[in-house]
Amino acid sequence: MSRRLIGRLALHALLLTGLILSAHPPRLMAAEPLPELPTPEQQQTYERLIRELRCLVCKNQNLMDSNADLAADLRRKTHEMVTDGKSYGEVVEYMTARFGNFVMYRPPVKASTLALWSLPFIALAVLLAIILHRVRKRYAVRPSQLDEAERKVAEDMLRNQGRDSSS
Amino acid sequence: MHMIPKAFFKRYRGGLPFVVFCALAVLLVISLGKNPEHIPSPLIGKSAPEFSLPDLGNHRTVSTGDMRNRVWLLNIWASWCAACVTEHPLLNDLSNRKIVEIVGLNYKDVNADAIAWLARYGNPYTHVAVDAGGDIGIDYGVYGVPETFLIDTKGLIRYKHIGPLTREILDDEILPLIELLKEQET
Repeated sequence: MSRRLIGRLALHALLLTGLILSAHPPRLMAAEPLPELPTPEQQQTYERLIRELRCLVCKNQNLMDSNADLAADLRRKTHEMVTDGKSYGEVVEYMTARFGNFVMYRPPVKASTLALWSLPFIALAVLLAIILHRVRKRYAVRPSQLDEAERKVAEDMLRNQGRDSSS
Repeated sequence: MHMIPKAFFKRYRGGLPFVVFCALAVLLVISLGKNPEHIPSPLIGKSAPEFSLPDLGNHRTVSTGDMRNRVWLLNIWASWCAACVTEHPLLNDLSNRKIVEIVGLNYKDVNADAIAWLARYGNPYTHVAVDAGGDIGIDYGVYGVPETFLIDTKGLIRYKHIGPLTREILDDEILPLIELLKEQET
């Protein structure tokens, strides 16, 4: 690979990274002040849960951001369960058993969600393949495309040139 | 001969954006026909969460245990719920025809308001369980009042409808299922 090719690839990689990063949404303010939990671990679990659980009635808000009635109830329930010593997984199980996978912003990886999970990676791979192919093609040294007759003319010219300079 | 694959490749690549566009368009058109409010319930086929709650307007309690060995509807409603008014005549009709027992779950409501509401629109319920805090609602995965559950003799949830019932849903889905469940029972 030539240096230019590598530079070109690096530029593409940088642009892609920028795109991916810019797709991340900014952090939003909590709908109400976060309650205190007995231990820092529980506090962390609680905050992670209300960030990852969806407010079902408000479309695209998590429990943390939403001030809908149901979101407040589910926050209260989550708080209750975490304070009782329930783990992250137990709360997730409780919620999905009642509201379905939709309650999770991050759907579980399983047979029915395989397409959903693998698509971004497939898309990325295809994109990289296309970029690589194009960049390579552009910078590849083109093989001689002269036919026999043209080659003869060129060789004659080169030979003549040699003779001229020597005389 | 060797020119054919290359030409084909070139043509294909030129058409790629168009192919992607078409695929996306088809996907979006299909999704357009889907109801985003419809979220399949994981509760179907599971046992109905148990509750024992005060019975509205009297000093007794109503519990899932009371309903064992019966096919019954659990209708979640509230006086503040506008859509509940729309479906209510259907429930009254169902109750008048004595097809199935309906238990109401009065969700996050004020008792006096609930009683006044029933006096105004009619009371199709054999019992009304009072879930003022909404805890039983969470147990049933309630997020769009009204919701209606069909529960069989073993206490399993067989059907769930989110939002107001319609004549079509009742006649095409719920009533046939009730018939089937009652047949299985005998």
